[in-house]
Amino acid sequence: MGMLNDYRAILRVTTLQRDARTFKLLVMMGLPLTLCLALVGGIALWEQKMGLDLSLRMLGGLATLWFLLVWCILFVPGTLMLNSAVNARLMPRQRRRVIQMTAGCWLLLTAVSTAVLGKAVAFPLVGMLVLGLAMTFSGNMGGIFLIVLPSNWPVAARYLVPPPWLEVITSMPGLVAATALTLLGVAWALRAMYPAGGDVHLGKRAHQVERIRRMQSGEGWTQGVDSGTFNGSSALRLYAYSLRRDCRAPRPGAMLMHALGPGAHWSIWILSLAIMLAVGAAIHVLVAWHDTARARDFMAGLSMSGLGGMVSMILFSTAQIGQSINKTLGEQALLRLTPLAGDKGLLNERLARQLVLRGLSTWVLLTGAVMVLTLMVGGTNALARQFALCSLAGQVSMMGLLCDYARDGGWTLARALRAGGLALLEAGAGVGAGWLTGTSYWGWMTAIAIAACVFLLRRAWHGMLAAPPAFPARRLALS
Amino acid sequence: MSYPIVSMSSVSKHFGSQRVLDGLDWKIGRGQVVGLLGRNGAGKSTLLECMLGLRELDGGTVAMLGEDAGRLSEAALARIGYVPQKPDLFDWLTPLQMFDYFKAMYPRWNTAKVEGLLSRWGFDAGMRSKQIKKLSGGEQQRLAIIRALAHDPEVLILDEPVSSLDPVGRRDFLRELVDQVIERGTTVVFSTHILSDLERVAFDLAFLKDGKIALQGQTDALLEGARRVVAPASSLPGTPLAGEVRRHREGATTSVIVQGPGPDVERLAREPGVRVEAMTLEDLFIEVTK
Repeated sequence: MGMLNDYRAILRVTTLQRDARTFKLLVMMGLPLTLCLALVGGIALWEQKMGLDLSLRMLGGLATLWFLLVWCILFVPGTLMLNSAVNARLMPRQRRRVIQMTAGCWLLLTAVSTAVLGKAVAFPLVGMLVLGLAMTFSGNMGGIFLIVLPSNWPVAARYLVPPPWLEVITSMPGLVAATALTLLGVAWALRAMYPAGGDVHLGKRAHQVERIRRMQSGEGWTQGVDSGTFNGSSALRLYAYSLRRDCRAPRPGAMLMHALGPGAHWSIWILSLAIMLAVGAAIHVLVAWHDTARARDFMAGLSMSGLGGMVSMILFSTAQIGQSINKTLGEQALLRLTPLAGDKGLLNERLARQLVLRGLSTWVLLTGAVMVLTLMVGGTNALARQFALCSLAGQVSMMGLLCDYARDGGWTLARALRAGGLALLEAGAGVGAGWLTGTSYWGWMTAIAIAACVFLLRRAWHGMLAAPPAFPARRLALS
Repeated sequence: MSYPIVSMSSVSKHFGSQRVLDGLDWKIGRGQVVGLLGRNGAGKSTLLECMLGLRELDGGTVAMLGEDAGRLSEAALARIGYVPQKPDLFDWLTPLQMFDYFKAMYPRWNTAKVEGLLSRWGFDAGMRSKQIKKLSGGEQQRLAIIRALAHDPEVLILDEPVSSLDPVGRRDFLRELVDQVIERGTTVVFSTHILSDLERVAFDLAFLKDGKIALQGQTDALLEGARRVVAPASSLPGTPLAGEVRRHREGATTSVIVQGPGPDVERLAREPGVRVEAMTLEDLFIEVTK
């Protein structure tokens, strides 16, 4: 009973009371989708187009997905916040209970996901993926390494792992050994995630809290592309050149954007794009030189996974603008007092115009790069698909751009989830329209995404112009 | 059970090349109320953290409530209250939600005390339902204090608990400390820079200097017994005076701090050109920690 009370108390403060808006949003999105899927599955079952087994797995998969989201987004970061160095040492039972709960949920999620996949051999990989997601959502970027291997296993197993090895890995003794290793690894990871106080814990605590907060506010997703860390000094040189040019002939809008620092400048994308195009060209030349069926297969796999990943760059292309706006409050206050800012309406209009220009130009630039790479790697067949995905991603990226910065300060987790939900709906509508008309659904998806973007941007534009002066951002958030 | 509540023996702690605690010995008896004093960076917080087992020791041992501080049992943990220098509250919760959580985790919880303190310290219904992160620094500090007192701890460790409080908040806190905590026989160790507060509540004082407890004693006795002897260097003997704490020479004049002066100081006081002065707590702090 005491144990259950502890679990209940921890669950309450980490999930229900921690971020009620996000929790409600997850439930609001999860329930209708589950009901829709249950309906579709029921009809398919009735018409004998789908077996009971598949229907149940489909429903189980969706339920697991929502449970996984709640666990990753709310529960694990919440328990990490509870486990401060002081509480880990001085609160009776707390550390033991949060480790028990996290381990239990991990095991449940991994087991159910494996059952849904219907492949027992996937247990270790699913386990890694589940743990990696929880770590990443808690601001620990080491989790990405745990996500990469399972996500790319189908390609890796086919092209990189020698067939005899694969046979050993997928045999029963291999599976048992891999599962044992996974359990040991997870036990080690949980001990590292929830330290029991001590110097290292005390020393790293402030940084950990900061990383969780950044991740929860959506800022952490772009920390890798922050100024000076991803593109290094080349981007800063480009930024400095652009600043010099703007200073010679000052345009108020452009000068406003400089208040946000180099992290929000277009130059941070240039070097990344150049590297990607160079890698694409090298792969293209290599495969053209060594043209075999296996190489073509590899290219097809790469065009699915690699280019799909590149689209995510478009998704996050505007997030660092919000991050910069939240970081440069002092600079914004100074700028607000200069004639550059103009009066209340003018400041917001100038900023909104610049933000839209910056967002659209980045979207176009990255879409162009993805198209060129698609041509190099995937051929013309994949162009329509990539363009549709870029359009959806671009629409999502534009959603958090114009807002009431005096209160909101750009991207939040709730807004990201809303944008993701909308993109799913648009994709669904595109597929539906294509099915009804008998045409390609990629074209429909593109058209719907662009139309939705125009509509939402127009509404957000008016909202931002009616809002209080944007700078300094978030100053009204606490009132 | 007659063991001291806290017993630190030869405790050493360093950060890189900086030695913060250097073979420190300290014992705190049941019901003692000790004010820990030291300059900024002297290591007061580190000392309190080592006392609670929050930091690993480089040498020595710490026993709290008769147990190894690094491996305290649940029963012992339930008898300890701690207010860290920076309140580490669950700031996404409201005060009521936070107290509900802690109530579930502690075997003993004084709901009436929490309610009384919240009311007396100005937490109206609106504030109780407001997210903690939206409260001011002083309000958060008060919550941290209430949280530490709520399970009626037998040992209360306070690391600069009043640093964020205004004078009214400090007065309220001290009244609470005297009426509800000290009167009940709770052992209290607290560090602060506000010496007037210490004089009001601390029965014992301990001065931390160079990684050791340089001076310790009852507040009244320390203040009554502390003397500054200012004399020409030639008037003073080369050997230390009885109870000598510190000797400092400035030009032709030497100043000696003594605690519990003996006959040699009385004799010196009668010599021409020699002054023997009483000391305030502030004087004592400056001289001992210099």
